[in-house]
Amino acid sequence: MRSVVLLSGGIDPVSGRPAPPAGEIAAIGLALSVGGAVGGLHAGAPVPALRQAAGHGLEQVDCLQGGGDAVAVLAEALFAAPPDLVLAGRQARGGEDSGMLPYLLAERLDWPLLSGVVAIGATAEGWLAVTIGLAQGARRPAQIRLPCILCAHDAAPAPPFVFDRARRAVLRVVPVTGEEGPGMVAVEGTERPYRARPRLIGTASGGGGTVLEHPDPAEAARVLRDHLRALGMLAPPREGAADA
Amino acid sequence: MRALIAGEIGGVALAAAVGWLVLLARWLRGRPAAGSWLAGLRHVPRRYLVDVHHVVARRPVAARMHALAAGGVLGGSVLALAAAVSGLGWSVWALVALAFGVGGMGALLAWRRRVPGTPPALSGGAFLWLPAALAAWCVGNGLAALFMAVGAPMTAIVGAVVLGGAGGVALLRLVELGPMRHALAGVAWLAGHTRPGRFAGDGRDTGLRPLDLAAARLGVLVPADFPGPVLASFDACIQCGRCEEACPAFAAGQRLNPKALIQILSGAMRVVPPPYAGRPAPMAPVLLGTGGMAQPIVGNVLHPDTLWACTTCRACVEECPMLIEHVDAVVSLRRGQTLMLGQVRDGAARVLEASRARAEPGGRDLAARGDALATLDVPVLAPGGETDILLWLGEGAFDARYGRTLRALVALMRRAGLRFATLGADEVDCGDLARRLGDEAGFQSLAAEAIAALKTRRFAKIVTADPHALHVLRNEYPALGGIWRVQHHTGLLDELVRDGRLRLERREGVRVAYHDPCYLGRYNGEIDAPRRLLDASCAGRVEMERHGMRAMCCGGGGGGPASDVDAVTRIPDLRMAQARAVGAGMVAVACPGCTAMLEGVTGPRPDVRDVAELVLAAVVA
Ligand code: SF4
Ligand code: SF4
Repeated sequence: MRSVVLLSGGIDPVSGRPAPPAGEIAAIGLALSVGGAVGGLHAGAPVPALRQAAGHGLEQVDCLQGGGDAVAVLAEALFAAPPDLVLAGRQARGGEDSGMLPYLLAERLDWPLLSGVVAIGATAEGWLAVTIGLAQGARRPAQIRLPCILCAHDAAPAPPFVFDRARRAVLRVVPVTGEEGPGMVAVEGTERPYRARPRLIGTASGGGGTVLEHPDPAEAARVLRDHLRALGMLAPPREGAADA
Repeated sequence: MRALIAGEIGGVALAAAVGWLVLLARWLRGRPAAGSWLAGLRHVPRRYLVDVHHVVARRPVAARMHALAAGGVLGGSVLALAAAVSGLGWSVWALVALAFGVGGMGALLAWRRRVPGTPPALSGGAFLWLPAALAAWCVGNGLAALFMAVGAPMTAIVGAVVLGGAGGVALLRLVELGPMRHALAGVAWLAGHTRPGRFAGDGRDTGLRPLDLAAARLGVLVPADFPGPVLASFDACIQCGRCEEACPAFAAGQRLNPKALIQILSGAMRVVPPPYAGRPAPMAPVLLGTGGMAQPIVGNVLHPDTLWACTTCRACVEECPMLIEHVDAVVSLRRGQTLMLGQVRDGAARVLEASRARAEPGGRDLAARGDALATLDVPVLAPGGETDILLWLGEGAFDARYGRTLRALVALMRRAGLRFATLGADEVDCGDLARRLGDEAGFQSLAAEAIAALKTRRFAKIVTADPHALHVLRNEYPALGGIWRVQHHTGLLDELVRDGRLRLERREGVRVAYHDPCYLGRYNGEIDAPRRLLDASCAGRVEMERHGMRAMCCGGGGGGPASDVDAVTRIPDLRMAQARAVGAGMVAVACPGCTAMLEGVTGPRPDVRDVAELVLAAVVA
């Protein structure tokens, strides 16, 4: 099995210094647990955070340098030499990362995606067994068809950092010419005063809740809305308002 | 007859020399010594007679035993050989007999040490045979010399020589088994001692040496990774147990016994090491791995907890009569584990990661370091700026309790009219923790950043209230190009009081015991300034039994708290008990680590105050 771990040019949110996000380190750990060849892939120039990430267990990181939309550049590289498994963190850290990249990539490649993965099990007939981490430490087994994209849970076991590995890691620059993407979207927002929100004391998976199989959108919306009302997240229906 | 005696003593001496060469061949499989090992032999007599005996003499009973035994055996043997070869007269033989008589008394004292019972810190096993072997050698050869002097019949001389020879063979066997090995290995170790600074100047050489991060093998994984002289130092251990008695981790029941550690490292060089008959590390499972120069040490013959329990307090080094450098060995092994394998304890991994990502082991925002001083408007020195004193805040500044100490210090400095500033958010962690945990790469990158930040400012000296930062800045940055005058806050305050810029009036109150921080006392030899300040500020200072250069650690150094190794009791609890034992109602400290560790002692206990706080309370006008 060949795995590719997507790495961002991680920036620590507190210090502003290069540092790989926890989820990406966890993703490396998952890839190593699968065995086989594991490589890193980064859209952009070789930056220090990549070497640090490699210290957690990668021998080589391919850096797709040349600009363009990250999704397009990554998709092209993955399409050219498709691995069995692509792993990513929950969210890159460095710019205005939305956490959408793995999803957009999955859409582009037309691969299935699972997020919140804490462990990877065995493969059988092209299906991979994984464990999804839910809130409050709950775990749920799942199966996914290969090739696929898995987003690691931040709390998945992180492989240790080994300086010797970091210093030996090869950051290989792969020149690319990517199509221009939408570019950085300036975010406009307004600052609003703090509003107290009700505390969510939910239960972990399994207990409570309703499972809808292929619901019709209106029905799904109604169930969601009622659920949020039951939790106190939404105000109760106003008198006389059309509630449908 | 002369030939017989010459043959006997010469034969044993020759066998000892061959044994030494066999040992040497093994040590030479380690990394090469820094300088010329051979040339170091010229230093051996002085280092042995002055430095080793300086430590040995702290225990008069042991010192007397050793002086008599070593002096008698060496003196007698050399003289006897000379007498036998050159055929000198009866008077020389009488002298030989006298020397061996002295050695025999040493053997008697050696026997008395373990009779009626072997003290717990001493080893048994082959050591129990040492007095007998010494006695046989001394009595046999002594009698032979006496018989030569008085012209006794041949049978008597032969009998005596046979007894002496038997003793000689026994001594040779004890070289192999350990008890007599220290004599041979000690020579090699003293010749190639890795801290020559201990024998020159002020006799202090405590800074860790930088590691070449481009080297293929970083730190130590197998015995052959140690420099040759260091391997000799492990073989030089005489198992006296002084280090064990001083070790705080051992006292707290952690899986570390410095004596057992050195014996394990000595045994690690051998496929079949001689049995160890001293106390092991408390509760450490016995590892049954096979040793060898290329066999891994940690996890094979040494339990990893042993490595991480060490607080790097240097109490063992201070006590060791063989001048062994335990902390260097521990840090070398940690470097191997950390840099080559990433095998550190979870808590340590977290602080190392935070040190990498945030330049601060606690992972806090560097800009928040000065928050403790927010109300005092301490100026921040911008790059290019100039001041008299650069105040290095250290990691303690993030701690609310230690903030009180820093505010007291700043208040005193203001009162004395000093001009000072901090680095503000440009102060990164000094790297002490990373370095002690074996992360030399993390240390060097933090140090490079700190040195660069300091180099862009102009100041006369650096003052810090953190002895760990003091040690790193003063003793370890110079090797990386950062050379400044660095002063501990107690040194500064002492200077201000001496110069009359601060006037103190002694306050009545409870008895105050001063707890020496290891990194100020043993690492930097500063034990007087804090005491002078306390004597000027508080009535009734008392000394704990272990104080000054021989003080006991609080348990906070060397990444101990981060590594969090299992223990039976806590080191600071033991230290606090020692303060209570001398009736102290207050413990004076001079280090953020000690403050946190000792304040963490639960239940009713003496108060903990920094020297700066006590001085501030005593300052007048
Ligand atoms: S440095 Fe301190 S803790 Fe470490 S072995 Fe020596 S005495 Fe024990
Ligand atoms: S290491 Fe030093 S102090 Fe400890 S037992 Fe050996 S010789 Fe004695």
